[in-house]
Amino acid sequence: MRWLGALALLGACGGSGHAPTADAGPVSLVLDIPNGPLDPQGYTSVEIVLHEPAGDVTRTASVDSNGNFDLDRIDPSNSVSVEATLRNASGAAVGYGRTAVSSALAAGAQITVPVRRPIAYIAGTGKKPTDNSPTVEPATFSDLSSGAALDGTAQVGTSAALVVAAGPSLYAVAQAVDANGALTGPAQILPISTADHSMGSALQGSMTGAVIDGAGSDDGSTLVIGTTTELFAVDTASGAARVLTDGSFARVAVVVTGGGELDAVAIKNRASTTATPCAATAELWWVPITGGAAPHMVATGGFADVAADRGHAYYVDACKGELGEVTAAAVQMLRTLPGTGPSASPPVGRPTALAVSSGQAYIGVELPPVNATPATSSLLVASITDPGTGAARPLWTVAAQQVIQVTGLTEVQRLLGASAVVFNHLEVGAGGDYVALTTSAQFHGDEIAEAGFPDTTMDTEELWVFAAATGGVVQRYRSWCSGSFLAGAGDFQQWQCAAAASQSVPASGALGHHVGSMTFLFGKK
Amino acid sequence: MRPALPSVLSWLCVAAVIAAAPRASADPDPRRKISVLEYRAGSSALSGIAARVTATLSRKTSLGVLGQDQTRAMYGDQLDRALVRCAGEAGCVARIGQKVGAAEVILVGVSELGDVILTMQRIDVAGHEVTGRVADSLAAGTTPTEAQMLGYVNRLLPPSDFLRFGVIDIVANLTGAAVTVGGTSRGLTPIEALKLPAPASYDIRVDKPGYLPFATRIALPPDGEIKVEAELARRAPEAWYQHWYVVAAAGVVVAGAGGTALYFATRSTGAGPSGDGTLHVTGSIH
Repeated sequence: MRWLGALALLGACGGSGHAPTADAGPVSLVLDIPNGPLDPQGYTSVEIVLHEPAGDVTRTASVDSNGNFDLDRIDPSNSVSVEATLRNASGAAVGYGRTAVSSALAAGAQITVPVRRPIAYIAGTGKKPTDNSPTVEPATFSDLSSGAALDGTAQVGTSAALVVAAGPSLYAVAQAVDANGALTGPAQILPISTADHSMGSALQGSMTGAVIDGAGSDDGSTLVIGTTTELFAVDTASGAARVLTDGSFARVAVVVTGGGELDAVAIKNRASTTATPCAATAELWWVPITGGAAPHMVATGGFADVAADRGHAYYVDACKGELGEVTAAAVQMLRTLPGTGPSASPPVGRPTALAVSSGQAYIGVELPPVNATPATSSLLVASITDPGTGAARPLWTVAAQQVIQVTGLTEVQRLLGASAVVFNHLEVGAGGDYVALTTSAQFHGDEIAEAGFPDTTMDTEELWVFAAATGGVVQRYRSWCSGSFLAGAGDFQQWQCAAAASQSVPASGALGHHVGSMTFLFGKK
Repeated sequence: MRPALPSVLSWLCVAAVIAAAPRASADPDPRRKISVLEYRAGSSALSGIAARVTATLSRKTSLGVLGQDQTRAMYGDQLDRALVRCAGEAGCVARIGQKVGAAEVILVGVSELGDVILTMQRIDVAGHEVTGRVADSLAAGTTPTEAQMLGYVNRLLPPSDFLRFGVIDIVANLTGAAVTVGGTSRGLTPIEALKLPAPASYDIRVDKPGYLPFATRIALPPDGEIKVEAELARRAPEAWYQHWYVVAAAGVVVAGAGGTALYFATRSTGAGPSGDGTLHVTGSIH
């Protein structure tokens, strides 16, 4: 606690300095790291953003070898929330955190900001290499502060159907899998240490239905889990799991309203995003968690994803091609998205994934194949705070393709174009430094007897992580590649998936798994 | 209103500041040389943005600012190729700064990711590391306002770089005269030259019992030195005001910029002006 003494003396210095009469005094900011092997490493500077009613104040300071920094003098404020980013000498984020609630920036205040490494976690089911029977795999993770390529060997726990972050805290959702690969039986929550990734004991509550999606509150107190049969709220302190409402909820987000009430926004009966015609049968629900109001449906439509940012909740409608805001009472369209919706020229894209951070919306758009162009996924960015100006702009577009090669004769390859590509997850990490998404794609190729190519059907799942400042891809990991072959007598019999340039793949077949969830600590979706 | 603290505590304070946060609180030389360089990642947006950063720094700080053209003149025509080869890597850019004798490089980056992404990195040449960074996302076709430009450099560089000073050297014809500047007592003559925030206006008064007071008001420019020669005459009860004002006006000599290096070199490295209602925010990672 030597630093506390130093701070106290600094405070006294303010009192005996040049003009003590009006000096408002010292404030200490404590960046609370987990004190373990997963502590942020290699930082040389800290970037602090103070969100105040009058606007944001940003300061950058060097961090000395004792972990101390000095932000100099800042005007007091009655209400401030704090974001902190630790950066290394190259400017890359190696730690990020934010406060869950606002507090006063006043003389003598000590504000604690939990800070964690920027790690992207993925989890899902897989297959046992011995007999191809379905299994639930350990979660794997990509530590973006280390720069190592993901290969599935960095694992957490023994099995996780989902991994859900709640601010600085991390939880696994464990559930069994049946012979068909469907999640079944009671689902339980297990805390994961963010200091060393050790697994804690299961919380007392359990959930029914196959888990689909989860989200957590920034203060770490609450998880909201959607299953095929109910929407649950989990109190992480008591471990109790409470049914909020019935139904199949495939997308959830947690929003803290201006009054401090915790609410969930969720999509019930979400339709397949590749269905033709576009199914506008999804229900958008507003579900109070801490308030006394009853859960209720706000609207019906082609709702495909929800997100929350700074006390507001948002949605994308795949059929209308719009981005909008949802409140407890209504939905309101904020902007239409280019190349989507009923007025777009073919091929008509569908916005199906959404993440919002600091007023910026990231939207995943799926496009069907057209002529020789395979199914395509693209990422748009648009302002939430000022929807009246500027078009949504494309950040990234890729036509999904997969190369397969003959096992033992890898020079024989076949390029397949995707017949469909689907966004599964989209999340912003480290306060906006990273944008991560996962997609799954389906491929089919008819038999080409002359070349020895069998009738082929493939499925792949990929994680993409982008550096938001440059648009560069910092991770592209194909977590899953599986297919079936109807091989004739003259066809090559054994095939395997090839890795694309700049794409990493599981270090062994046993490490591959579906991506049932993807999250960052302090992620925004 | 806080009571004054015993002087022994002041000594403790100095020790604590030095021990607790030496890197964070040590202000760099506000007159150091900085090179502003521009690096583009396939974007033609924000034309001339580095030149605007150069102009803003020249206007608002006392730094020796080298723009890209000046840096090219010193480094050679291969500067642009060298910058491209560096691809934003701090150590590589620092070597460019080293060659032109800069203490720091401000690397202004422009790229496009839908929005135009403007980044400014402050690279310490000796340490080969990034010590500050700001980034902003601008809608295509927009350019930052002057207020935004100032906001960027304010976030990038330490506040001490924007605290500009001038020097007032008060010389009286008598010893033991009380000097007051801006309402603050500065001791008895002879006093050392005073380094004060600038630009600003200061009321100066020099008093000694039995003599007519000397009073004047001066406007102190940044990086300037003003010499004030206070001639105090024996008090003549009748019409004293007919003398002192004239003497004071004649006694102000603007020595101009250029004589301030000594004062900057010896100035205090405290945490900036206090007594303004702001809070001193420090932090720790643990």
